[in-house]
Amino acid sequence: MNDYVTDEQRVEELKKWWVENGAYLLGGVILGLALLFGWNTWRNHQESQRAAAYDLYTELSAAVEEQSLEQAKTLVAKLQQDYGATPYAALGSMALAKLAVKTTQYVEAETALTEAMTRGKQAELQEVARLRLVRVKLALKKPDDALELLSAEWPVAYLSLTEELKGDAYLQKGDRAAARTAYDKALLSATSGIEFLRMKRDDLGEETSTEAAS
Amino acid sequence: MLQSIRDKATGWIAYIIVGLISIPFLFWGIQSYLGAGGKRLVAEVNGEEISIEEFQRALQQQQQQLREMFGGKVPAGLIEGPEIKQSVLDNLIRTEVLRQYSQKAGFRVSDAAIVEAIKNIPIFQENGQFNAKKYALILAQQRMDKAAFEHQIRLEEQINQLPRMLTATDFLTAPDKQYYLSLKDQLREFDYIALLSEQFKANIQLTDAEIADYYQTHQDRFMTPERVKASYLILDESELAKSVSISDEELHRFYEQSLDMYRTPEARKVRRILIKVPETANEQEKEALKKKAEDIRTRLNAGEAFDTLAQSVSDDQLSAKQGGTLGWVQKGDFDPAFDAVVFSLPLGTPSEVFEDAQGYEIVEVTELRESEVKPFDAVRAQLERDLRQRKAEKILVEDSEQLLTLTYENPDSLEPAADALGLEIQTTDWFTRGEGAGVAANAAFRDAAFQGQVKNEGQNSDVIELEPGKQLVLRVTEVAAAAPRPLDDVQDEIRAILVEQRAREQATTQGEALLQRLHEAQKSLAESAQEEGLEILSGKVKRNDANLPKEALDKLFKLRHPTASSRMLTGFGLSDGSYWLVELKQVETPEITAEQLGGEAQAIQALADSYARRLLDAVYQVLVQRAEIKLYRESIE
Repeated sequence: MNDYVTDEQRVEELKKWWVENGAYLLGGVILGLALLFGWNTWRNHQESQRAAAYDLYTELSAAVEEQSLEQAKTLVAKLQQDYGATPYAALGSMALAKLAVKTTQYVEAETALTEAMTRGKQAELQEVARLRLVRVKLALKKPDDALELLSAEWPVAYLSLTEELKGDAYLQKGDRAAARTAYDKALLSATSGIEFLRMKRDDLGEETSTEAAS
Repeated sequence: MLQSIRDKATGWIAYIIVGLISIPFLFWGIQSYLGAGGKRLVAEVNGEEISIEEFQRALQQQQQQLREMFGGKVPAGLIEGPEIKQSVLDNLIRTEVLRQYSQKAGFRVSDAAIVEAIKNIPIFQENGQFNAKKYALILAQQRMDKAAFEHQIRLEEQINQLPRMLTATDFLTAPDKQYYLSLKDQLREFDYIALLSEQFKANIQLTDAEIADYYQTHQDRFMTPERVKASYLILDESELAKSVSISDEELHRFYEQSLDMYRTPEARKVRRILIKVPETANEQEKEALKKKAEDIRTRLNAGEAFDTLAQSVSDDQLSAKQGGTLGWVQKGDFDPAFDAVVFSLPLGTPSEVFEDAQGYEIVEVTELRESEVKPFDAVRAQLERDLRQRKAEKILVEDSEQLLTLTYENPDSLEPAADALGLEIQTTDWFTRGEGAGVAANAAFRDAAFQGQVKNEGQNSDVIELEPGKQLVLRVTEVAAAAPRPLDDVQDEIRAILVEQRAREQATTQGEALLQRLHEAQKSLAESAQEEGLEILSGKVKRNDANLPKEALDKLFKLRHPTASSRMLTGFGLSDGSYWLVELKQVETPEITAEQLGGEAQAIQALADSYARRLLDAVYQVLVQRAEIKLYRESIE
């Protein structure tokens, strides 16, 4: 560049540059502002969505408390449809399942938990829904379904819970040897709250030659 | 101008300028790496820091809770050890993980829910109703900002949602409940023969050689413990107190010094009229209240009676009922402004209106009681006791220092110290590490005597404090080493041990042989018992039966159910030495009523709780495993 330019020349150059590039610059700034504004709006929208979903869930809890299944179903449908990305959708389905189990409508519970498991957006809640679905499958006397769900990949922390359910499923199928093995595994990795598990295991006794033969 | 900067800022000058400017940026934030001046951390959870201060605060809280739980007597290991630190750290990490998860997963709390939560906090309530004023007051006392407090509540609510909702949505299916109850209350019917080791003892013959052999091979079990005798010098504050001499002059001086203790302070009986100023009052309102008080003062001047006026206008409702009488007041009972007026007021004249912490006041003194001092003769005995005590304490401090010096400088003798202090050397009888009589009954005394240098090298011990006010130095004078007890003394002991051992062996051998015959003979336990001439017992029990040993119950309920084709016959030894042969006849499943299956039954509730707990633990573990956690263990050691 020429080192001998006057200030006037520089101003001229700037003006020229502005004519050529000004529009882009302005466009860039406006685009940036629009993005910022859009991001903020979206965030605010998301926050209010979540808070609204929470209120809806609170309403649902009351319906579950009063055992009005129809109302609960309506609310859960709304949660799933409008607020499907929030954790309240999955938890809502699980609340509905609890109510269904309480009134021994296991098929309803099966549907609700399947929905929580497949549509949920939070892996941690999906795992919980899957575990609960296994319980319901066992109540419906579908041990093969239960075993299939249990054969999927589970976090290590679930080992004692899943092995216990495997034991339940095998027992339902009449496979006492497999049930023993599963309960034993469950006991090995369990820490507390295992009175029932221990009783189930103990009641099977030890393997005998007659049993192995049959 | 721009031009000239540009002209000059070329070449190496420009580089230097840029270089200088960049220095602060280079080292920006370095203190957090160097440690000094930076925060010390105990952990990082996905890059979020947990500082050592947070950890200390949580630890103290936990320790405080434990202290309250144990009523001040906490086992030391419980509040100091590494376990509590680990559990506090785990909790902090878990809370942080939950906080981040609740944020990321989209758990939120609506404003309405926050309001509800705050309204439900009992300390903000009055008569079961939320009180906005109380809320503001308590926050102000805690120097807490409303917005910050509400943020805190919001955070807590948000964090608690996941565990709360997971627990609330957990369930037990009817078949599970049914199975649980049927196992829990299961009845097992069985026959059994208990071969008690006791039964075999009578027939066991032992030779002297066997006993001698056991004595030889288990010598370490038949030793007398090591014993010592000691001599000691003791300084006893209560003895010193008896021997101190005290002159009358000293007592008088002591009395003068401690006059304050024997003085009852000045008191005035006061009545008051209070015009209360609410804390929220503004200047105008205060002015109006002051005017009201002035008016009342004027009415007093005009001759209205203090007590009737107090009854009708005073805002201090308790005293108003008694004509404004507060009773006897001492300095410091009320605030300084009140004291200043009351303690300078002549008797029987109402004061002018003045302001104190409660509002505007008019007071009157109705009776006076001057400050009083108990005379010397009345407190002489107490004075003498106190002075003796005080002197004895002082002597003890001096003497024990001398005792320490002299026994340390002459480690092989107590005589110099005894001579210098005018003490008598006392002696003990034999005592062991574990027990002794007289002064040796004190564990601190025995511990000192059995210390290496004291016991083995015969040196003086350190000065030990037996109990407050009793200090002592001892030296061991005789040591009797641990020695084997003669065979004659321990023969009976050995015989008992061996008999017990043999009896147990025989019970087991016989039991196992019997079991073998039973299995082969295909006979029931009852038939065999009859043939063998053994007593047969039977029972029908639940798991928690109180009449059978717990061990036996555990074994019994671990047996496979008998079937038509395969009976359940077994044997096992118990820790009391008996051997049991058991035939499980029948397993009976109890009838489960609909009522028992209802969610409210206690047993069901406990089961539900335990499952919810296990699930929640699993979820917590999963969240922690999925987080990136850095631990700085050295910070908490």
